[in-house]
Amino acid sequence: MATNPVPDHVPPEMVGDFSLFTSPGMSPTANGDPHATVACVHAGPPIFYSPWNTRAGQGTWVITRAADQRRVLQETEIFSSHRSIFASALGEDWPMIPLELDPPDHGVFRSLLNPLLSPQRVTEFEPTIRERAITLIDSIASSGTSCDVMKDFAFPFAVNIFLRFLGLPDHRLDTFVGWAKDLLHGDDVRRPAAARTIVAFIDEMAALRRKEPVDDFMSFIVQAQVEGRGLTDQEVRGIGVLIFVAGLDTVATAIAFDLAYLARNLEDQELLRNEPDRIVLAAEELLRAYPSVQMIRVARQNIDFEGAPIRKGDYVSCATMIANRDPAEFESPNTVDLKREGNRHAAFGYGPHRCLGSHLARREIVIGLEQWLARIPPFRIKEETAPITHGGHVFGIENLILDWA
Amino acid sequence: MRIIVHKARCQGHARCSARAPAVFKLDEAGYILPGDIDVANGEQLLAPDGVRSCPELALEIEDPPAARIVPDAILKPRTGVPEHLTTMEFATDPMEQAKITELLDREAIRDCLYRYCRGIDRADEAALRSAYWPDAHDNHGAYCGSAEGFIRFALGVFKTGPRNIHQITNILIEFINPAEAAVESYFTALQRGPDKDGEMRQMLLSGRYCDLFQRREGEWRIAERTVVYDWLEEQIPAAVLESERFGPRQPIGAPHPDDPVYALGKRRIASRGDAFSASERERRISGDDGL
Repeated sequence: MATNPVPDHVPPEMVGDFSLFTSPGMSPTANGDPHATVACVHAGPPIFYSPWNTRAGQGTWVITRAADQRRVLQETEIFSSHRSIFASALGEDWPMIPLELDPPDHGVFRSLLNPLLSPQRVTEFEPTIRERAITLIDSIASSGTSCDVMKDFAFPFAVNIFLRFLGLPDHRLDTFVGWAKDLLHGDDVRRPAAARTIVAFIDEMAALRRKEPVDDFMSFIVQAQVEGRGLTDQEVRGIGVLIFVAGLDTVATAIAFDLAYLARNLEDQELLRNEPDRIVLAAEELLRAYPSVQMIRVARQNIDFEGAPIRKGDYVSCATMIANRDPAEFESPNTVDLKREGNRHAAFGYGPHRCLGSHLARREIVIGLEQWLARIPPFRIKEETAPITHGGHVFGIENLILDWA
Repeated sequence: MRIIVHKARCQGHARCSARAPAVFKLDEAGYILPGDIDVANGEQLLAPDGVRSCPELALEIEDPPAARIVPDAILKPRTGVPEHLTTMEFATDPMEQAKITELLDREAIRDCLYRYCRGIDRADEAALRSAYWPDAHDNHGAYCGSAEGFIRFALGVFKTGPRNIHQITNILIEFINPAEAAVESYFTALQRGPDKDGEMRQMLLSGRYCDLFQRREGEWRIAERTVVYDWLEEQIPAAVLESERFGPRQPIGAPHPDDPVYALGKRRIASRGDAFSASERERRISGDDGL
């Protein structure tokens, strides 16, 4: 793949040949372990320049240490998240909200949305989440001794709950997941097409709920007030699009990585099956070991950061999967230790843009694992099948065939 | 125990509250309530886990000047509790308190030195790592760089199945401040293993570990180490296999986790995670908790 010219202000010795997109093990790989692959950057310097590190092929600085990522993500006055990443696929310029707003505007919308996904609120969803998990798993257990976790459990479980939260129709689940896939992993034709479809869909939902509000997320948004006024159409769209693309398949991916780990590590599987109280802590460790997102910020000013001459406009990458393998933050970072305490992992990011849905995601993962382990006997990866994993902007796993014959 | 809350840094991860809900109270949106927290006695075990789990580092434990109460049975018979003081007064007297703290610190430093030896001699990665802070530096003969790099180097050596015996004597601990100590420890090391050409080499080495120890969140570990060499003697390795030479003297020392020492259970010895939480728990129960 062609390499971009490195900007003049980047010292040649600070250019690294690592990229989340093009390094070995980042393209779809059978039985791959992209998280372990990226951990190798910790053998190098704490910050370097990667000439090809976004979907569009732009160069970014790569921050490897968790402590430095924390600083970048906390210091929004220096490192902005305003990138119009979604709108740019349409050749437009509007922010996904609240992610692509910087403080203080960010706080206005974040405060509006926080209570909807607070820990307390998520507790109220628990019975629904549990019931959904049980229904799916019981049906899997009664129909055989093998299944494709992605298709039969992870997606119908996590996406269904998410759609229910948004007030979107469940029977269109496959359609929605298809849009999200095209948006995240599609080519130059499919990506803008998916973006247009999603925008049209969100706009349509918003119009519908403005006319006839019900008890769902979109009705709440179109009726909400900020600073004494209602939201503009573009703000409603910015929020709707963000929630849709950020929450749709992330939990499913996490559950699949977790079950893949347990299928390959039978002692840990047995530990959690025998002592389900450990799942809450174990889920944190699995979030640390297998996070899925890279966050990118734009420098608002020139700054020398840990020896790197970052210039205004430079992209700065904070990849959660890199921070989470930082030996300066985590003891034995490449060992999965389900009893790990004080796990300040970066899976949901740091700073004011911390994942809004993290509390819901955690409950889904914990309940999903609890019910799976309680209802499915010891399982392995089915012989002669191999889960396909990939790196990129959002890490993922495409298939996971488990077997408990 | 008092916890300082840096409210502005809180981003609503709610990890503290997940660990210790009675200590860390959240508002409706899931952010921590403002104001520092005085932790109730019954909550002192979980509260530090809550502090350590904050991804934003928004929580901090204030160093406790609180009274430590030490059970009579431990103190009375052997330590010099002055006649005019009850054990209780002794344990809460600031001067005596400082002495106890220093003793505990000295023991913790000693333990750490020994964990390093356990790590090297038993090829026990967890024990080895637990001797260093993650950002520590090690100037170690041919190797000079991050402790992490040294550990990786050591892991490579472990794969060759070496025989190592490291002994520590003459430990001189000089406190620089309450959280830092300059520590000189003599070592004698017997080392046998293949060199890079695969030839078996055996060495008697003696010297001193010159360490900067740091205390972080109540724990002592090495922040900087320089190994100073004072003696080197190349020996002739025995041609006969260990099992033959040792004869009935069994068992022979083995790497982690096969060495018999690990069979003693997880009480003190196993890996660092267990060892530490156990000793830390004990320290808290006998100490800060006022039990």
